[in-house]
Amino acid sequence: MENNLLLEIITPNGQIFSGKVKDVLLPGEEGEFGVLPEHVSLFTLLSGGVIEFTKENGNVDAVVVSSGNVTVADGSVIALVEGAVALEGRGEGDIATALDSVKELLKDVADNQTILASVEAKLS
Amino acid sequence: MANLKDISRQIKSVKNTQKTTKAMKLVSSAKLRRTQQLSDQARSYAVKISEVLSTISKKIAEVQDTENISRAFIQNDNPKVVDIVFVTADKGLCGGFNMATIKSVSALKAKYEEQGATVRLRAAGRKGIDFFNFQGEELLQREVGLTSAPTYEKASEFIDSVVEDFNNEQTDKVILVYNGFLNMLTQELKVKELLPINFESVSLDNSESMLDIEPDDDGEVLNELTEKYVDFNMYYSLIDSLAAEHSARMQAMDNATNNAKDKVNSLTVEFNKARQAAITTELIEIISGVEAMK
Repeated sequence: MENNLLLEIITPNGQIFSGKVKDVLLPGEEGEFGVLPEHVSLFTLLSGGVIEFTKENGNVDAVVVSSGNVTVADGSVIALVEGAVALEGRGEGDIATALDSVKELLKDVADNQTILASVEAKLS
Repeated sequence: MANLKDISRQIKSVKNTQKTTKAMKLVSSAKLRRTQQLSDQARSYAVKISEVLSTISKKIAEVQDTENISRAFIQNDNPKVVDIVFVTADKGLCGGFNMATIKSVSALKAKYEEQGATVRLRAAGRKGIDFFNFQGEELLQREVGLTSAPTYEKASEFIDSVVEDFNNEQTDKVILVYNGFLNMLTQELKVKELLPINFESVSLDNSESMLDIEPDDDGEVLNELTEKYVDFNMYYSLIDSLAAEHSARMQAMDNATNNAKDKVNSLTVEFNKARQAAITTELIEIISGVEAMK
């Protein structure tokens, strides 16, 4: 049994993330949901929010996305989103810039205050 | 014979023009590289969104008639109102780049009007707007500045009202016309039927896996996907057109630089001839003066 999922996060401005992950948490239009290996094939729309995933080495990473859609099939999770900001690997100085781009990204998303708060919590 | 001073002034001015055109060529080639990067980055999204749209719409069509849910999938051979969205550059000096698009838009417009349809024009790019304004044609939508610095957000804003009109049944067909990048030397005029979506233009995916679709409202899913597909196509056409514009300008400026070089050469020959004539005249004058004194 395959223990990993292939996660791809793609925006019109390029690929944000591509790699093997152990699990993914996605902000679906009808609520947040998690995907583990051997998940049933699924297509759904995404609302703005945070995609969280555990990488092979056990590190948890997060990418903030605006609206889009996701296809789960045959061990791969492909998220097509309009815009995305990765939160990984940022130093102290970059956090402010990251927050600004997140705010810019989510300004059209309803209920963005909750998402922003959770992003801020993750960053600090 | 032209005066020496005049010729040297002309040479100087042509040389200056040459410097400008050379610089413009270099600027365009740098910009082209950046635009091509954008287009490379967009490519993987392009492939995936087409795949997803065709898979999902086929899945939904298996369960129920797609055509009942969304207008975007019904082919309409006899449209009443046609929207032509076209992309030109904001700036000139790029050879026949803008004119090719404008000509094709005019031809399309004439063709549909002959069939009795109303044609509405929506323009992105100053050159196209100026042309149709001068002709006294009405433009439904005009956008300057979008084509020289395209972003996904701006593209989707621009195309939003088009999709809205289509969904409200105010238009029956949306056609996108732009001049796309083929290679460094050639541009390719692209005419694409944006809505209704033509399935032959969407790549077909034969995977027959079971797929759950959420939310259950198929119409909502299809509308959302269609909108994304159209938004993205608009964005991609803008990048493609920008790349083509830069390559066309590079070529035009390269030609201009070469022409300036030829012009400088022929002017120099003329200058030398004039100088030699002046010297000869002077010599003859001196010699005949000496002869007269004998």
